Amino acid sequence: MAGKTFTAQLADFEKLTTQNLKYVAVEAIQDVVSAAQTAQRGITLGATSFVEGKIPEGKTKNLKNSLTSNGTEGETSYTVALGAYDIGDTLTFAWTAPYALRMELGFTGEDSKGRTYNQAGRHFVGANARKFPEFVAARAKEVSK
Amino acid sequence: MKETDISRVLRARLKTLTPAYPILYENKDKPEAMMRPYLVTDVIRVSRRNPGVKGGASGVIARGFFQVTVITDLDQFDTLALTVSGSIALHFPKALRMTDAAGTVAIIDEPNILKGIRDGSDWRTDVQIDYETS
Repeated sequence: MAGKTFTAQLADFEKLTTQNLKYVAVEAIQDVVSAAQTAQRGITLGATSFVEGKIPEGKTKNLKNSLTSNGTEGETSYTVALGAYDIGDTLTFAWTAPYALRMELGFTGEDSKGRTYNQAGRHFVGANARKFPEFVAARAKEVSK
Repeated sequence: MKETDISRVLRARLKTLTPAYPILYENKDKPEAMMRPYLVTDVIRVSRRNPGVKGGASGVIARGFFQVTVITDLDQFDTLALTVSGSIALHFPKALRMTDAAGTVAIIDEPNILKGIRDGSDWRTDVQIDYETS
């Protein structure tokens, strides 16, 4: 910034700060969604255990593919939505498979076909959303000088 | 604080809820005789970190949330579900500290009562209670 007026230096600094803010926001949001989209083998593929915070993946990958980011559906649709993101924008991410919410929160009891379930929630959204402050802190460190 | 201690402390607090309801714990199948309304619990572990330089078990901060699902009958007004979930939320207010020999579990925010959903033969209303240990 040498040789510039003080006003110009401030303008550069402001631009850099805005860029950094955007970088931290985009990367931290992406950290949340990509963590939610991290797959684990589903019960339909023979899994006998699970971890919380990862999305179960069966033969069809319907749940993972149902991610809809700002209205566009697709497994990696969040990358496109984040590419167009600017500070102050609102982003919406939704898993639109009919059984998405019961996979997230868990389900027990008998369904309409008489099948009995005792299924704990995978919390692939809730657990990762709660890590957002940690993702932000980690990304902020990358741009701290 | 060990994860088993966290679960024990949270469950012990839930057991003191009045009026009391049957509780179904993680990895347990629902007994046929358990009648609605009943509660289903799930402790979701989000992170364990140790901000101290020295490390050591005493400096571990575990964060997560305690999900209590209120199971009520279908095709009824949701008054009962909201009454029970509301009483659970009041039973775990923000800043509540539950201390025993193993350590302290603190409630770090007001519990969230999620929208009730119809699933199978149940009406399910989830209460999510964020905690942190110290």
